Amino acid sequence: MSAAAQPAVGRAVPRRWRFPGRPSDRVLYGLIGFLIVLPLWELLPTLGLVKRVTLSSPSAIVSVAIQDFTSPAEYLRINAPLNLSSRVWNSGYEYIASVDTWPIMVPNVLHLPSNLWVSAQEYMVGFLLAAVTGILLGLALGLFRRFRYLVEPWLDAINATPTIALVPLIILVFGIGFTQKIVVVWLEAIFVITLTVLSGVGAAEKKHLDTALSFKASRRLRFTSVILPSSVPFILTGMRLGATRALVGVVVAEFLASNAGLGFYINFSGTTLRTDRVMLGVILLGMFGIIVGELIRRIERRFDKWRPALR
Amino acid sequence: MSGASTPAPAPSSLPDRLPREPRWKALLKSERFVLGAIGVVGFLILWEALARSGSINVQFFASPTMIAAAGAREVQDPGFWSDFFISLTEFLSGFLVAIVLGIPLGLAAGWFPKLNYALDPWLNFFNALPRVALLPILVIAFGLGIWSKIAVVFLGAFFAIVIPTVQGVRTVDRKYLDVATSFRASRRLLFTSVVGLATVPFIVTGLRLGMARALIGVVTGELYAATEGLGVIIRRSAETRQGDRMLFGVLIFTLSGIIGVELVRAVERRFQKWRPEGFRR
Repeated sequence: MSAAAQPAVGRAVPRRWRFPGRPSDRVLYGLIGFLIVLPLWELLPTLGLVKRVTLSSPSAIVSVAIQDFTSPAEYLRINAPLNLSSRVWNSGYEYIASVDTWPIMVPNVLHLPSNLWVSAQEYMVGFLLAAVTGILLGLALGLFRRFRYLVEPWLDAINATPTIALVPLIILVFGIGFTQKIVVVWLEAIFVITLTVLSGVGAAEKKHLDTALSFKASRRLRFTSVILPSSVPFILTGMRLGATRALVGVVVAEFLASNAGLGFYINFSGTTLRTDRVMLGVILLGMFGIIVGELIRRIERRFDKWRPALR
Repeated sequence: MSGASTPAPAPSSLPDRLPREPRWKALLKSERFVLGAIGVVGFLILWEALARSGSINVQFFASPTMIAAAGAREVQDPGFWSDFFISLTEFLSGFLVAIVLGIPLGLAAGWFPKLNYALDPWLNFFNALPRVALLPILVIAFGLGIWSKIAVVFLGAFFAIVIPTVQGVRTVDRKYLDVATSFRASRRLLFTSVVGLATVPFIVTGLRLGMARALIGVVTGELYAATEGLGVIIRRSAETRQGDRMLFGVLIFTLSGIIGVELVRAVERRFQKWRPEGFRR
């Protein structure tokens, strides 16, 4: 937040003396918020006010996080229940014991690191593809007026469509697999990037362009020395917005058809009523979203000086 | 009828207005309109031709005429309208609840810094999170019917409305506040006569963003788990290879997206003047 975002509202009273070493209000009240929510979340299901299956609880989430991060990656040894008690004999056909369960090996679909890795791959490939194509398309649309006029109606129409509605079509065309996820992520992210870059090309300051023109700068030089630098902040903003959309794409693509990934993990846990795992997946997603957003925002701030004043 | 037979017109005074070109003529001269029309028509013709020649599979990409025919069939089917109204109900109720709860919360969080500090981490978290990821929990909590969709629409729109509202309150032009305080305006008057009004453009922006999010919520909710609604039409048609019906469903969402965004944008333009300098678009 820049200086402009300082609270403008408030009384002009002298600053009160504060206890040295006291955290700032922002940190203090942020912590108070957590201290209200977390115990409440833990208590509500315990008191029976809300069903545990709909809300889970922080402690359950922590324990399931440890379990799923540390469980073996490939197979899990579980005791499967048998329909009837079975008798176990040794090699000499002597009766040893009766058992109700039998240890079996099952694929560990809930191993979190591998699920995270699958989603990360889909996210990175899809998003980078969207960034490259989106930026190129945006620049082309901004530079070639006639091209823009030609495709503008389609662009507006697709931008107004919730592209999620096309996921069933994408599944039909590309099947279920890595390609389908990439296409969904790409489609979710590309248009917001393109449109932001397009507005950036349009926002290149007139006076800079005029100066370049009066020095007889070629079309190419005008592009590389005026339009491109002034579009950089917009490219970064578009990428930040696209990164959020891409995350939606990963989740929805995995919700609707997948056998691995964070979206699969959340969906699988939801259908087996393991709300603690659903919450864990949701928290990981949110953290991932915050980290990526913050990263791009850092880079964006660095280029903020380049941003032309809008109008 | 020749010019010679009619009496010469009397030298009249100048017309009070210059004759204006008819609108359609002006449109035809605008390069933007002409090229746009060529783009639309050209692509539709290309699509139709490819579909007719069998180069693209009409089970997936039904041709424009097939989609139109499917649309004509669907609108006569009462089943389609009941699905349509289910989706509309989900959208409107979720969006309205988000407005009713989101605007007051945003105003309060902007006005009371301490409340803002307490809420900030949560708002940021939920804003960075794809809200549709909460669908499994919402389905467990509210079932497969319309309530889980209303909840996801609400979550989608709520944060999109709250965050610009907070920003709006916190960026009220200092000089208006100073003027009001120098006339000894009470805090209450300050809020109702300065802050509340100055925030309106930000709230409208929030509504526009929230509208798009709400629409995504409806689609995803219905594709994920539902028994009625337009999303279900899309999913079922895809599963039964009725490309025309599926794309008609997508088209309905496109149209509602366009209509919704245009409606809010009209409101936004109306309040553009109220926006503080530097936030104007």
